[in-house]
Amino acid sequence: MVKLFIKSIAILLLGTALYSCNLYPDDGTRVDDLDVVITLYDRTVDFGDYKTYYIIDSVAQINPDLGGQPIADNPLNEKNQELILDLIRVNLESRGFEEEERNARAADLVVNAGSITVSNINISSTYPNYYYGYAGGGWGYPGDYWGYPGYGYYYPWGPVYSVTEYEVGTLMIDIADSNVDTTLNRIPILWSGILRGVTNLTSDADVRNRIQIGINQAFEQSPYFQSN
Amino acid sequence: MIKKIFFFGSLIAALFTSISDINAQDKEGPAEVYASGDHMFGITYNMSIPDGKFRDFIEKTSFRGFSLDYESFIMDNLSLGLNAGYAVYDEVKDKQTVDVNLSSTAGATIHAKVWKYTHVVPIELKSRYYYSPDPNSWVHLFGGVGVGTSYVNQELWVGLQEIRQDYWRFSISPEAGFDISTNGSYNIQISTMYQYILNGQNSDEDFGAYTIRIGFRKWIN
Repeated sequence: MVKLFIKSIAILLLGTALYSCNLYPDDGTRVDDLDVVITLYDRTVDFGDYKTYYIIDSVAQINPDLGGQPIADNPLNEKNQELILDLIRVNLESRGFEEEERNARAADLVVNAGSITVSNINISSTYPNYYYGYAGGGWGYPGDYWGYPGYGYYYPWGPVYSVTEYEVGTLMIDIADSNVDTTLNRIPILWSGILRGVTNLTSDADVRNRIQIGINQAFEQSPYFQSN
Repeated sequence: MIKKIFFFGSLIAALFTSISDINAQDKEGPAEVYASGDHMFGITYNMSIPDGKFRDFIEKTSFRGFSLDYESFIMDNLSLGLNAGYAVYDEVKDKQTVDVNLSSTAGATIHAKVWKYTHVVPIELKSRYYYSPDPNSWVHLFGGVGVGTSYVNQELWVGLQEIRQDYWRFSISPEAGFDISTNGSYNIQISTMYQYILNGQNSDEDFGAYTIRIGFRKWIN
């Protein structure tokens, strides 16, 4: 009786130890379970005041090691570029925004999408609340589209701090006010959508499916982003 | 939380009061469960139910916990000892959307699957009193309290990113239960304990958990 009891306790302890090894997300976790959609926005802005948008017609692949400059060889984005831009257009138009196709300065909003492979996406927390994004200001060139070369992006949420070791593909969508701040030479970002993980190299169909789910989710979780 | 400690404290106090009443009536004193000079080693398997603020973080019962105990009897039925253990709590929240106010001017919304973990390692000095209603009874009651420190490691995984914080905090663990004699060198013990860790949840809120313990004690002297 006592031996049986002691054996039972030993089995429970062994079971505990073995099962504890299997607690964390690992190679067996579904890739899309690890996808994260983050939206950051300027709370002082009434999105209803904006009517039109201009969308930059390419999706840049950003190399963080080159100071945020786009890189030339960009096969993943070329395949999915139209899908990404069309999904953004569909979501903006369903919220009452109209596309201005001629130039950025004639539109109220300017939309820029890009992807980045990072080993160190940034994160910060007031635990257990949490958020993460990427440190702002690293894109380099997009001021050119407004006719303000050399202007940097200004993110009201500021840079955030980093913890991670994994390399992931992230799609970023920045939406800026086309009225740039000429005194401070900066382009105010009103909204950023960050789709972490979606451009990881899985099958083409899978990537496209995850891009679609991610972009739609980014807008769905931003109900304030609506033109009057 | 304080109420729960008070509840367990009252339970133990009631046990001691009834013992002293019996002592007053019975000149032979209480039945001896363990004798002065006994040394015991014990292992218990623990199941823990999160409580209070900790329950806001993880609701799921932990079935993964154990304790190692050493008890030395400084007088009949009264022991002082050391207790160390480990428990891990975990919970997976399927994709959910969380709003976060970053500042008065910036907001964030996150949509992700979330993995949450809390590892707890208590190291406490423990005192227990055993009581047997009858010298021939094979079931004994005991009550006790552990006071010491607990290491808490809390983790939040979003995708493959991890937010972690860990710290040592003051902890107190009142306990009451049954000690079952086997007439051999082992006794079986079943008890319930409330584990309270000051600022043990999210570093500045109190941690609480009800623990059901089942294990054995072996004489080592």
